[in-house]
Amino acid sequence: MKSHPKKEYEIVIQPNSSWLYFDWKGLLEYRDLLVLLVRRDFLARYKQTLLGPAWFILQPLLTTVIFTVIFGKGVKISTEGIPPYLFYFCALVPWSYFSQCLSAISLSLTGNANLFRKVYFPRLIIPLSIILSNLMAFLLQLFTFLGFYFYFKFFTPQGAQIHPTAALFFLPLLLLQTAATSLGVGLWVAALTVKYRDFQHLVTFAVQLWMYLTPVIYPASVIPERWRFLIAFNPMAGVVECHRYAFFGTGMIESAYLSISAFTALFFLLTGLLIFNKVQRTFVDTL
Amino acid sequence: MAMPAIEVEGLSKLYHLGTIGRTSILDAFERWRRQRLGKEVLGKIGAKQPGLAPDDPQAGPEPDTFWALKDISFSVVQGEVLGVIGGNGAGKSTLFKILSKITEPTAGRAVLRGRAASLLEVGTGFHPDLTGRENIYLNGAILGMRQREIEGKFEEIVAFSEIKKFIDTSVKYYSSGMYLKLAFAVAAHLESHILLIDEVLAVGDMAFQKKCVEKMNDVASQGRTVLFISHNLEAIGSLTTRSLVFDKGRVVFDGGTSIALQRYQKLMSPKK
Repeated sequence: MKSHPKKEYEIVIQPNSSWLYFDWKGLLEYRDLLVLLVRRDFLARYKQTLLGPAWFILQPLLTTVIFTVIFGKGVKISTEGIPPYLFYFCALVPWSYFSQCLSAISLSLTGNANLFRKVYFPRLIIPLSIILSNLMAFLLQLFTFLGFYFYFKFFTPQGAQIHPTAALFFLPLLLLQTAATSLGVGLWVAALTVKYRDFQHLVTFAVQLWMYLTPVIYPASVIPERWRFLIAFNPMAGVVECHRYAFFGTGMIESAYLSISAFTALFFLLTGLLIFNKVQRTFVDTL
Repeated sequence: MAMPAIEVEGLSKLYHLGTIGRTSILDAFERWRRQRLGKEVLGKIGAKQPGLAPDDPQAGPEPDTFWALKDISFSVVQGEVLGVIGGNGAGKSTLFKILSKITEPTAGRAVLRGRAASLLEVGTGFHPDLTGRENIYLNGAILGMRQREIEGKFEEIVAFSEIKKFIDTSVKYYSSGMYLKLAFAVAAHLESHILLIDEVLAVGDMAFQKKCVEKMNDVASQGRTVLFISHNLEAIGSLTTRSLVFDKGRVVFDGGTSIALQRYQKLMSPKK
């Protein structure tokens, strides 16, 4: 006779209308799946490509070149005395992590519909795996940036004018804020996309627009004084400005703005989790 | 007396006819407008909207809704193998989706005592670019296995699947038979107290099918509880002693499999 299953395995299935019910235990039980999905993303993404993981670095590099030619040489927007290529690259490292995560998470429910229709596992695992697997690209890009940065700082005569600041120690916090924002907004879009496919088309456009609203190709200082408070509500503006301040000592850093932007990120994250959690329970019925 | 392994009480699932499939915001607005109009019209002449006839037993409380499952109750004791049969659209798959937590019921509740695993369609979650080995791990984890568990069963899974030679090849180069064999092998080695199976025995060539049925018999004889949904009456007949017959979202028969099969055949024969 087999021993009776342990009490902890009792699963109760019933309509659950509470918004706040969250299956943390289930999430923990599937942590191995999270690890394997992250591994799968690495292995599968660049299979059958010639350059493989080099694409991680080439993407922001090419964008930097394009920005340098168009905005640095052509339109000539101020870069606060920093060489344009460093100025853009520095902002593009956190920005491309953000935009990659956001676009992938937005599609995570509809894109995996076939899987979700057939097996149950905590749906949040997929967005979490996206956040983690994109970290690899982020780190590779950060190291490439550091290469250019050190070259400029120590091997060129103008290198003496840039000064790294103590804000470098806050880089992990900035990364956390970036991840929280992309996860929060991504979950919102993913949840809405289940019902309204319109958002799927909107998100590409929205990400692009968001980049122009964030000081990626321009310094925050070119924004007229009376509108400047608005960028406090864009968590990515704080991240990008801080990144530049950390490496170059330029840019506008105000602790009031930074705390507002951190709270905005948290707000996105919490509401995103709530709505996603609500939708995931029955979303296979509408997919 | 031990508590039943699966206990289902008054389980119901309501679906909205209009919202199945793609919708856009404009559609939703249009539906909302029509619903408002519809309600007024309904109030005036007391007629139902087209879709389901008002006397249809599956018609829901609102015009565009229907009950895919209506007030289902049954229980399964530990170690029992229960068959579930019924025509297309009778509610079998909906029951399956609710029990395996893919979607939530509208009303009622179900209690599963023990670790539950479900085998829906084999091969879900296989990634074509990954090798057989990598997919065994990934698929096992998707089905709810811990990594250590998969490691322990790895050799057994590979042996069962009969594809040892190709284990380090991307599965996209597999023949469809090899693919299915590997997928079934992973699913069949799940350690669970309760196993929910929906139409998975029609896999591979005849020899492999026989192996699958044997494996299922094996599972049942280990004291695990099995809920087996199938159109394969032969498999139901040989694996189960008790069966439920579903029709139009309700359980119309609950009892011995041989009588259940007769009942099902009568349901399926054209009405005169």
